[in-house]
Amino acid sequence: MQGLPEQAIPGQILAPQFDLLEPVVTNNTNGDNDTPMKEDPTIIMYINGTGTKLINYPINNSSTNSKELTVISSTKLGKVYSYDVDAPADYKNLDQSRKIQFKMISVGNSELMKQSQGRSESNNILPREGDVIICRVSRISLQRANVEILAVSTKNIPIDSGVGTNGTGTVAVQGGSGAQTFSVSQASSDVGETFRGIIRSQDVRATDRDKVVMIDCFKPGDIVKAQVISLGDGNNYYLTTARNDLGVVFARANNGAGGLMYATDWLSMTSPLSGITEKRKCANPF
Amino acid sequence: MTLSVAEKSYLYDSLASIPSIRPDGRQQHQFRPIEIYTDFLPSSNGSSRIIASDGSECIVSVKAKVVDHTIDDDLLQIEIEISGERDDSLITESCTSLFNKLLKNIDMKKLQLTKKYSFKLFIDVLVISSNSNPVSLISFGIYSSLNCTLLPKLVSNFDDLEVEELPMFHDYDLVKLEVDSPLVFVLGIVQNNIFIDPAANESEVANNGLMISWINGRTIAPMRTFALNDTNTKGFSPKLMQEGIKLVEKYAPDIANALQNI
Amino acid sequence: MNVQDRRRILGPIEARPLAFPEVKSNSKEETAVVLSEFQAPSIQTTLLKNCNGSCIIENDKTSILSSIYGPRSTRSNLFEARCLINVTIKSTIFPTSELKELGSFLINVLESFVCLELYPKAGIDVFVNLNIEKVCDLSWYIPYIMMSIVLGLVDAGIEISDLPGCGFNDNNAICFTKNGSEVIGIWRDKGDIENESSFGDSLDACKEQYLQIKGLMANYLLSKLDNDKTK
Repeated sequence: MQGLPEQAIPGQILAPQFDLLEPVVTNNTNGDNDTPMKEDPTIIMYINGTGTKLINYPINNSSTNSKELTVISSTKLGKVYSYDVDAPADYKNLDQSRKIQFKMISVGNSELMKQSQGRSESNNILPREGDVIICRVSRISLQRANVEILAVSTKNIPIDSGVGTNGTGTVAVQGGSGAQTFSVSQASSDVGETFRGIIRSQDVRATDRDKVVMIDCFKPGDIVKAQVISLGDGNNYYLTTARNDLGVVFARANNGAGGLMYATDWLSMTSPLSGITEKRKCANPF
Repeated sequence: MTLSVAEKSYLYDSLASIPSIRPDGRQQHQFRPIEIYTDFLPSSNGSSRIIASDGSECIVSVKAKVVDHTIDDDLLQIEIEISGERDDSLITESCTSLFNKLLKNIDMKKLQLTKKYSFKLFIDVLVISSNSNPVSLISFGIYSSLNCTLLPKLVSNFDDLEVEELPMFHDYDLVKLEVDSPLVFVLGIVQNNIFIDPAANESEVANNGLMISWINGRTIAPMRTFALNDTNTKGFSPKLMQEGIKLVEKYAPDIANALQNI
Repeated sequence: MNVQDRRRILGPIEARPLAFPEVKSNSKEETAVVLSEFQAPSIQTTLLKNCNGSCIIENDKTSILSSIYGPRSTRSNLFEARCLINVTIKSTIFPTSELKELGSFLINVLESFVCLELYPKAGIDVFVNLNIEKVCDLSWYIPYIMMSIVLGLVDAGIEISDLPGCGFNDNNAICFTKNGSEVIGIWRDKGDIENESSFGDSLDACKEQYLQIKGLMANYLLSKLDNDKTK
């Protein structure tokens, strides 16, 4: 077994998928015979974490007997981390006599990586199933609220501070992936190119989910903490606020004209300046 | 065409096996049957309509105009329109750019009328429907329409440098345009196999596509790789390129011959 | 019948057309400048503030800037389980249709090494600015363009399965990956392919150049990592 490199560049091969940990040969001295104790070697199965990928690499270039080896290769520039992990859920141990150890290899370059033991993406800021996100309500109807996703928690913001991914900064709209379906002339740069989401009325709260009145839960402009249920369709992520810690976190009174309001209970918010109380589905602030 | 994951994996494995098994039982070098009709547009000098067996269809028209080649030396102009695509879409523009490069291989001397004047050919291509990559179909269409192009017969003097004279033509006699036209072959690559003329279902699983141009016994530029789908694209062994060139060089004369005899 | 005589006699029979001495052009022909040798360019990344990643590749006559935006949301109405890539190349020298064709070629090349499945519903936009003096065909610039895009992608933190590169020899621009054992793209614009062995030679020359480029990129990236560490 070879040690892992400290840092990696994309395409660098880090380790084979399976490796042997040779046992330390110990001389049995207390017995009469001097034969060394033969211990079974431990198999290491490397699991590809973030920033790495399992690939088949041809090891022999001659056409007659080219073999392919499954190796873990880096897909990012950064430091190499490896952690002991439990067996993956889909792993079946066929031979109980074998000792097997699981190690996850990740490549990345952030503090977040260390905290999450290599599980969290360092730069990929796309929302995924189960992620908690912050969004702004852009429009509401009887059945749903449309939102723009502003940030994804536990994810780093990239160098461009999210412009183009989830921000509303000035980005020149020229062609781009949007142009595949959209003409350049029709696009305007003040349209925030954010990911969009939908909170359906059934997903607003966990109880009485059929009696939700959307206008009593959200108003356009509210900043909402929500969780991604699914990637949804081509246009929208599907989001939920059916948890105590999810819901409106910031809102202004009088449809945005008044002052900032604070949650008084989970269904109402009050503005300390005017004393006005409005209905919202609030997130538990504590 | 959208295939299910199981269908794709079945197709991929059979195409990748040695020897490869194609879903319609074709050989590695075999084309799907095509129908070609020529000379059906009354107002153009040459025309062809080409229909592939999967319903892809393409119409090519060739029109000629007399120009002074000392002023306008661009004697071939091609316009490609693909139905359902915008004029400035990626596929239309890259097809046009590709064929512009390809048609540079045509011997322009054949279009010369007199020392000063030449025919300028306007080739208009309309892809009515395409289920797999249309490049090969278009090149066959251009080939067969150039092959049946009839141009007015020149009756005036060839040497018009000293005596300024506009070329004059015979009232009804026409001459056949004798010009070699290039052909483009699309090859699909699946793992270590390469085959000519991938059908829509084969394109769906192919790892990569190779485009090789050929004219009258020579393999010519442009040569390109291009993805036949956007899910399975991968690298391939460099040897496959040589194999592809060999394959084209071996079978292209037969195909040119078949097209010539229409 | 057209009875009008359209001939116009230019003069007496002895008259000769005006002959001008041939003007020798001082400008060199395009083909006269043969830059077969690959010149190691200077590399710089993380230049632009408003995009995710950027890279500039400079020679004495070329300066190629790539900027990578994304992964960001697309305007597609269809659910895409994988990322869409778009490449836009800008240059004042080459015609737009040719640049678009190269763009679509590069998209196909990128699709074979960018880990698209990690970015569902998103798009990556690659913009390449060619700020160059025309010394050769467009295909000559492909190795530099590829280099700039690949380093831009690394800079943007977009996961790629290898450091691919492109070599140019005898009108062939061939893109390799996996240490030259796989080809991911070939672009050839002019010239006949005489026979297989000459093509094979050119293939080997391109591969050599790819390995050289890969070495350059790897060195640059490693030195960048070391610089980050010392900071």
